Formats: sequence, C-alpha cells, structure tokens
Amino acid sequence: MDLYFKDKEITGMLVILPSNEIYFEEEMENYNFSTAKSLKLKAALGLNKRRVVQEGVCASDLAIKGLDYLFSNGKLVKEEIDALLFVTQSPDYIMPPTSNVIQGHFNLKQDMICLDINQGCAGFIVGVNQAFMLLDQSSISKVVLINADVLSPKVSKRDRNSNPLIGDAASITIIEKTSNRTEIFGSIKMDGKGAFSLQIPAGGAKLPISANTSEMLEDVSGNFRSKENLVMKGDDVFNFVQAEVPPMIESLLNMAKIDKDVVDYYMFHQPNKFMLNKVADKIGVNRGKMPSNIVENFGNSSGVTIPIVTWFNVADEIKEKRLKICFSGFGVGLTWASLLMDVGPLSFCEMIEY
Amino acid sequence: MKKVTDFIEINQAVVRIKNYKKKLVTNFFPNREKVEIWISKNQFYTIEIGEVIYFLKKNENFYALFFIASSNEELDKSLLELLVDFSEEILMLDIVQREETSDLLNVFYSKSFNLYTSLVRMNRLNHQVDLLSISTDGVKEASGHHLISLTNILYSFFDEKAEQLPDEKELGNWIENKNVLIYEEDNQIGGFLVYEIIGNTLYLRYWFVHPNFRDKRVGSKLFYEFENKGKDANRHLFWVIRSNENAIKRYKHYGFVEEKMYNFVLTNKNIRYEE
Amino acid sequence: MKSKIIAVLNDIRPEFDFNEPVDNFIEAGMLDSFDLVTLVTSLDEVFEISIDGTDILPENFSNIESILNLLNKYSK
Repeated sequence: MDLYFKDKEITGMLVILPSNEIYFEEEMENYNFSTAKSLKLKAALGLNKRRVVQEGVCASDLAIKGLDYLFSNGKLVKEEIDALLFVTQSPDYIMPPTSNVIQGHFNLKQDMICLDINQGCAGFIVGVNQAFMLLDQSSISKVVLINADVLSPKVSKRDRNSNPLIGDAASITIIEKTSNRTEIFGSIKMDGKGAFSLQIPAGGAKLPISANTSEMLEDVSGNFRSKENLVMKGDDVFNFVQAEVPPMIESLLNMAKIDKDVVDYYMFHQPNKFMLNKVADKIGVNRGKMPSNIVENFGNSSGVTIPIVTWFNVADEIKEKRLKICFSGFGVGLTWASLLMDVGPLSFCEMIEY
Repeated sequence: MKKVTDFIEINQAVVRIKNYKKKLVTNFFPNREKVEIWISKNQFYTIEIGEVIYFLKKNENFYALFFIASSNEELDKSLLELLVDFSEEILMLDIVQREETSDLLNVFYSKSFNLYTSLVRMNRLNHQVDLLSISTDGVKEASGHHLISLTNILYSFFDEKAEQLPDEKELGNWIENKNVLIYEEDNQIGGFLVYEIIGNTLYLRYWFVHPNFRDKRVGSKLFYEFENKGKDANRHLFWVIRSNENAIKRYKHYGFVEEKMYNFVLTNKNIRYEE
Repeated sequence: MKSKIIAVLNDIRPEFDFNEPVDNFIEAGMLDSFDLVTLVTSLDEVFEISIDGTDILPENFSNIESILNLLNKYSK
C-alpha cells in the first residue's frame, strides 16, 4: 500500500536506554554451546553487549523518564500535545491502555487522543504513519510518538537464538505540521499468513498463563523456552526480509522519483549485522549508508532500533542539516513498512539513561 | 568458558596444576583488588584445556589472557585448541622475564602469536634532588570529580592493548588514596601522573601530558612533584615502551637506567602497537 | 574452487572432515543455521562475491556440489 503525506515533519528525537549493560560472555554459560561455538555465534551475528532493564522496570517507566526530561528542559510543552501514541508489545496492562496511564501521570489535557498500538519491529514506522494521518486533522498540530519495548523478561535466558540479541529501550519522537513544503512517501505491507513467525504463545486470551505455560521445553536446536517466552522462526523471518524489503525500497524510490544514491542514510530496523549487510548489498547501496551497529552496542529493541540507529550515527549531523532518510522496519505481523522523507535540522536528538 | 565468581578460584587453579606434579608455568600474578573489581563486573572468565587453566579478562575489543600450565609442552598442546575457540577474538598477553628470548616465548611464537610491543623497566636509586628551586605551580592531588575526565583521557590517549589500563573503580580508589597528581589550568586537565609506593619502592604507573599543554613544562612539574612524594623511597621504577626512544632518553636524562627486565606483549592477531 | 570451499568448511567446523562425501551437511549435523551465516560471510570474502540473501537457503549449502552450483551462478 502506497502512502503519501505533505507538510509534516519530525522535529525532535529522544532515546531512553537502561544503564544496565550485559556482555555476551556473561551469559554464555546459559547456552547449550561449546566456547568455540558461542564465540562463533558472537562473531557471525556481530554481538557484543546489550542494554537490559533491572527487574520490575516497565516500558512506561522508560517513557515517563523521557517525557519528564523533555518537559523539565523546555523541549516539549504539555499543553501542546494533541496526540500521544504508545507503540509497544510490552504494555503495562491488558487494560487500561498505557498511553492513558501516561496521560494521567502527567495530567495532560482532555482534548487529546491517546492510542496504544500493538506493533513490533515495524512499530516506529507504523507509529509515524499514524501520526501523519492524525495531523491531517486541523485540531491536531503536534503528536508525541512513544515507541517503547521491554521484551527482555519475555525471552528465555537459555534461548541462544534470541537472548543475546534482545535489548530494552524507549524513544520519544515529536511529529508536527510544518509550514515548510515537505513530501513524504511511504509504503506498508502486511502478511498475516506469517503471523506466527514471531510470537509469544501464552499470556493472552487464547492461551492464559498456567503452571503448564511456564514449563521449559527443549526445541530441535537445543534451546529451552516456555510458552510464555518469545519464539522466532529465524529462517522464515530471514528469508522474508531478504525477499520483501529490497523490492519495497526500490518501489518506494521509484514512486518518489529519487535515485538510491541521493538518499543520505538508510535507517533500518536492526535485527543483526549480517541480515542488514545483505539487504544493503541487494538494494545496491554502500554499507556505510545503512548503519548496522546497534545490536552489538545496545541489542535489538524491536521498533525502537530505528530512532536508536539514527541518534547513534547522525545525532550531530541531523541537528545541523537536512538529511534525506529512508526508514524501514520489518518483522512481527508479518509487517514491512518504509518511509522516505527529509529530516532535520532537529531541535533535539539525544539519549538519556534510565 | 565460565565466569569467575570468587577470587579463590585462582588459588584452586594453581593447586590443580601443581597436582600434575610437573612444573608451574604462568604469567598470572594477580593483584587482588584489581581482580576483584573484574569479578564484580562479570568481566573475568576461566577455561580449562588439557593441563592448562586460562583466565581471561574481557575488555571492550579484546581479552587479556593469563595462563597457569603444568609445563611448556602442555601449554603448547593446549594453545592449539584455545586458538581455535578464540579464532574470531583478539587475545593479548604479557610475559615478563629477564631475558630477551626464552622457551616460553617460543611456545607462543610457534603458535603464530605476534609481538605487539615490548616494554622495558627503568629504575633509579633515590638521590637527593634539590626540589625547592623547582616550581610545581598548578600541580595538585586529583579529587573525585576529576575521575570521569581522567578515565576519558586514559582510554583516549593510551593503548589499552599495550598497557593494562585501570578500571574506573580502580582509578577512583587511586584518587582516594591520593596516588594521582594532576596539572589543572582553567578547569582543564593538562596532564596527570599516577604512582604507587609499595614498601621502599616508588612506582610510576601512568604519566601523561595533553598535546595542548606540551610546551608548558607540565611534564617536568608533575615529575618533580612525584619525586617529592617518593623522597623516602629508595628506588624508583616504571615500565616504558621500548620503541618510545624519546621517553627513554628523557628518563635517562633524569638519571634512570634500563634494567634487564622486559614485558613482551603478545597477540594472536596481526596487529602492532602504533605510537 | 572445490578445495577452497572445503578449506572454508573445515575452518568453520574443524571437528568434521568435509572431504568425506556426504549427502546433506545440515541433516548430518555438520552445519547449522549459524554456521551458514559464517559460511556465507567467508565465501563472500574468499570468492569476492555477495551471495544474495534470498539464496541463503539450506538446500543451496547441503553438499559440495550444491555450493559449487551456487557459486557458479555468481561467477558469471
């Protein structure tokens, strides 16, 4: 599905990372692998360290710390928030929406929209799209998009496919109407046939939590996880990304009539370095334009990796200049979504720690 | 590879190797305080291969390797497997000895280890220096709030692989124990010197002058203050990288001589120390 | 070419001998999905190619012949 937006822009980005850092080696003993095998895995996927919350910390905690920082530093004014979007797969509660909890916490105005969006790896893009759609209303001028996920408690420590990769993080992105003439091109596709390629089987209405669901079971590769843990069909997801993302980018660039080399950066969701390098090669762009350095430094925090890869690589540049960026997220759903737009100079692009 | 959770595991390792009733070949002389910081930060690991127990300290981009072996021959055998396991990682190890060559060094060279760099120890027996006439204006003891800047400078300007740099906590302890001198001007650190007095010996650990302060005699001011602190020690010692000829000349000018005591820094990768 | 491939494989899993004829390395437990990642990265380097992500399927790496076929596709 093609999308087109005008006269809107991102004006600020804040990333909130837990200060707790875990190195790959610290958890090696949990995996059913020899030292050599574990270190080969580390090298193959480009792993090193990740950020993970302390016990009991929720996605909303990271978000609230971020908003607090923006309010106290005058970078965001409460009364100006017309919509608060909370994109997450780790909400505080089944009921109420976490966006309302945050609204109540800060005593935000009543004349506003609060919306929780259940999306993962493509969540940032889906959230930005939603923000753009809301901004088409004359009563909405400023949208605060929070993308936050604390999935580390949901991943089995004995699952070497996932555990060493997952990171926790939150981001706050301000999206507004602008008097500048801007054009934004987007593309989104979904395939529900692949809905169970990435899932957490238990905890919802279909399979409630029970003594059974917490039992650790071994899979064919020697990983242990329970039904309450994240499970990924790694090969299927890999093949889907390789097959679907490059053509989507090509078609997006065609629609916008922009050559791939004119794009300054390809800020993509960060599943692991290997996958991204292959996508870069297929699209035909220099790997330097598609940074893949987030998993090794912070872990894969689902949708939030897009704001993180942006902040980590171009924070200074994007506060000074206007950059043409192609964003892309892909994963759970299956969902794949991309945006081509100009971003910057941003009034802020920084990181704080929780 | 297992995490080390208690310092006592090192003692236990020594006992296990001694039980083979051969020799004891090692490059590990642990400083308890330092190692306990590593353990508390989950940065210290161990792996046993054959009749050798290795300890590894995880740094950002490499592991510092320590070994306790029953003999050179067993070390030779066991290194083969270690190198396969760690083929994707950088290993750095120190061997300190009084000779330029040795069978132990050859064991590593035969397994394709390279010399990253080597250091030589220099010493001077204390002598009275007329300190009163030398101004050490601007030099003072570092305090807690300097910790972060000092850590940043250390890790930016020193080669972590060639010199064992202190952990932030260790440096914090040194500052508390008044072992760190700094030269500060307009809230900027122009240079620093870290030293220790152990028994009768004064050790210079790190000595640095920021490029922007190089013509202001900051180096000599720090050095004279350091000598002043150690005026009761009868021996002054430090290690210097052998290829750093300027530094060696400078120290000789201050009356230091090179000892026959060398630290060979070896690595499994094709990398070399660069100034 | 064949000997280079065998050398790369032996490097990844030195405990196996890839000279021995085998129907399917993956079914025989000699290579797993992480080994495929390392294998593709090494083959890319050694042969100076970039194997397309969509070709990274177990059937293309099941034995020496299938790897050779895949590489021939890229040498054109």
